[in-house]
Amino acid sequence: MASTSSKKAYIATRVRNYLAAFAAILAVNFAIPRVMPGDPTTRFVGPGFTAEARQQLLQEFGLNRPLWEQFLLYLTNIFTGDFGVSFARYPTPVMELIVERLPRTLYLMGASVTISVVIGIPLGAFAAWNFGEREDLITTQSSLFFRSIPTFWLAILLVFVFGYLIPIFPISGATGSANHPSFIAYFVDLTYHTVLPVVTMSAYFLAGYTFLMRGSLLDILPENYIKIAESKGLSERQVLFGHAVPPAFPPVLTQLGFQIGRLAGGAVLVETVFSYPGMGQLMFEAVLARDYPVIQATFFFLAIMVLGSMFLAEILYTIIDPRIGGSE
Amino acid sequence: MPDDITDAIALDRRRFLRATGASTAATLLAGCSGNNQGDTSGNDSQGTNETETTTGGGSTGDDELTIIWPGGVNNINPLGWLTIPDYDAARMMYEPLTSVDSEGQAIGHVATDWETSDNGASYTWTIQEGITWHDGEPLTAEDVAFTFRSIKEYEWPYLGSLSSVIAEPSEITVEDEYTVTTPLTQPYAPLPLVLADLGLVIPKHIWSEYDNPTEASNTEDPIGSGPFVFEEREQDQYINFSVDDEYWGESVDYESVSIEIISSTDSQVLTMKDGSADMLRLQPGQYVNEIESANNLEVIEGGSTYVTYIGINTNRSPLSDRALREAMAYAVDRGTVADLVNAGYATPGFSPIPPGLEFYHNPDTNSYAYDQEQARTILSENGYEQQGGSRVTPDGEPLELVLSIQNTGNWPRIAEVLSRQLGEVGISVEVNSMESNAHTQKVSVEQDYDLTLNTWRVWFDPDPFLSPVFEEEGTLNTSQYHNDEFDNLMRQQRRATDPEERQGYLYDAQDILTEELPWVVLYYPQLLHGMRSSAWENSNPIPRYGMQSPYGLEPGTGPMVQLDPTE
Repeated sequence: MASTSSKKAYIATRVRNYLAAFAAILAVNFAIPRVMPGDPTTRFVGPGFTAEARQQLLQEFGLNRPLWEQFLLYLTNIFTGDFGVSFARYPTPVMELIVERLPRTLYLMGASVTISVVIGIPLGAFAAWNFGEREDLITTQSSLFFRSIPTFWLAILLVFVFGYLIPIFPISGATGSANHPSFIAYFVDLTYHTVLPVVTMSAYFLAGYTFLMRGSLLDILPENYIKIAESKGLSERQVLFGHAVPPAFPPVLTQLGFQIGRLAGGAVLVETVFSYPGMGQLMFEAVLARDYPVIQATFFFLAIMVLGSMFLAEILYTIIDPRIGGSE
Repeated sequence: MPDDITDAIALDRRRFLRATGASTAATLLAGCSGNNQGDTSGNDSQGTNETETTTGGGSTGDDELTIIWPGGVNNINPLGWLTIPDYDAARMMYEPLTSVDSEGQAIGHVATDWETSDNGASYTWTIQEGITWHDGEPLTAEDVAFTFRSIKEYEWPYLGSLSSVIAEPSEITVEDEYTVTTPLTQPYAPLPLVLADLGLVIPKHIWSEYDNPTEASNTEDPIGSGPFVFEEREQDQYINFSVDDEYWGESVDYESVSIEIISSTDSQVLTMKDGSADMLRLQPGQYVNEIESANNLEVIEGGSTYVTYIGINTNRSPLSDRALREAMAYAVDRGTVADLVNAGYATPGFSPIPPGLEFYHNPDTNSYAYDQEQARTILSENGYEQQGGSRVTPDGEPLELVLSIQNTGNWPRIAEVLSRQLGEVGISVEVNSMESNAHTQKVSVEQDYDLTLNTWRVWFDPDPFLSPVFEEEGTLNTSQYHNDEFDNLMRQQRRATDPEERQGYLYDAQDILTEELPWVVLYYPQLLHGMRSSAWENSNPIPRYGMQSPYGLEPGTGPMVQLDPTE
């Protein structure tokens, strides 16, 4: 498929491309917040906020310095890991915000993606195997439904039904109290609070993986080698999961790779509805508030994770699929 | 699996149509059930009324007051706060020098009394005895003097105008343990009410240790003197306080306060309805009916200091023509807008000073009852001729204005209604909706706009509001308005030592503003709190803060302090 002569050359090309993408992202990451109208002090403008106070804040935030100086500072900070102090949540350090929220979001998104993959792939395979039958129709129609409804609508519905009408789960928040006697207690509390958000996100992702797997398999199933495998007397499960699913896997892997990278970004709408203080909510509020340090830091992490996981996915292809990247 | 899957996969037209039909139906169903907000109707399941479910932070037993806030706290610096939640959190622990009664008039709190001298250019405060800080140290005049000096010596984001009024720190004198004199740079009648808002007293024995108090975020173990003691905080989730048993004022009948931070309005209301929270500030028009119809909740109204208005850039033609602004004032139907947008929880009005500031609001100022004919007459008589479907200015330009608004909340709806109403008299208005910060940048910073819509929450004293907004030198004068007589009246009211005299000046000042109309005031949104009346009684709100204040009504007490658990 690829025209390079070896896997090593293939990987080297990919590395070069990813580094270029990363450099571009760094530059854009710096420029975009500054291009938006307003600055971090505009949200404070109001009764009582004097012009002198505004100037003082601008100075504290380092925004009075020339742009090239700010850019150099930005680059140095990125590479030394000092992300400074949030403007909107002044004077909370940015790293503190990220360290607090990233685990919560990763847990929420990680659990959702894991459940979706673990259930979605077999479900998609099952649907493709039973193409045209009632099982397939039910699976595809319900997947279409859960994929189409707005996630925040499902979230609000779940909150209302299971948080209020039948109060099994909490309506909001990530944890119930600050002090947990042990990590297990913290973990249980966090899990209890993430059930509804996870169900919401899983419904959406699950549908995606189901469709993806099903569609990919439908290309493979008519192939000759499937018929051959069947006629060899292998069981249905062996044919399906041993011979059909592996070649159908690359599209799923692409999607998974892309999605894992985006885990860090969370899901803004779901986090908002559940008042779940995660990365998605942080990034959204930072953009609204022109909180440059938080925007820069969070988008940087997101970029690293997305690029990193996609790169990993590409490496995995070359390992799993001998057709990609040439031989040796 | 069918023997020949290739046949099965091959598309059969009938199967295709059936499948497409089914999917389309499902998608439409899903897509159309869009925004569910209105469907959480007031048919509460009766069984959940007295549920004491332990959701969210802490228990909801009757020994704890649970309040819902929409935003988190980052900085509990009583002088250096940056956002309203920061400020509210500081007010839980630190006490103001003065406070207000139920009509918004200044009363004592940390200061029992005060005297002015030197024609109002110097204040001598008598400090309440028996106040202790949360660490046991007594609060004395030294702390008050230190607070004044700190306000003057450092740059605080919101204390600039207060700072400019205080004289040199060296002139602040501690007369004895409970008396302190603070000279001012000029007579300043608004001082007691300004201090009721901004004058939170800080402990000298702690804050004098800081190199730079402006940088203290004060989130670790803050020591105040108020009825609530800081216990713990989880960023953006909750803040917990315990009640100070040694509090000098009225004793509090419960043991702790838990503030839950819930950003989603739907969740806020659900949490109130299921009995997990006790107090929530309500945006007028949103969910008020639901709270009212819930058995375990009631709506408490406090004196509103909100004013919603059309801001006009008076420096631009044709808006510089007063007649045009007058026609606009007649053309808008305030009652309809208030009903449509705030579900009636707003009072139409004309003066920029809201009626919550009862003493200063001029109820008899110029008014503009909805009268489209009058608007048309004024326009025609002043050279705004009708040409076809629209009007032209006296210069011959088409009369077209742009209304710049934020794209959040109710603004688009209000703008739409106003645009229609103004269009009916021939003033063509185009609505330009933009993101909040972009809007602030364009309107407040660059002042590049024709018309805008906004709501202000005014302080206890009208001066810190009227002065920057309407005086020529005012830093927040986005209308670019100036009137010498108004400026003069403002100077006089600041120096007036007699309250009645001051009221007279302010009444006249309002008359000028409602005559010249740099703002066309629309209405005053009400200040509403939802309270869990099944568990709490004795709700007595004050203006501006409503129920959300530990101080007010009388020295040593406040709306939150007076709440009693029902039992």
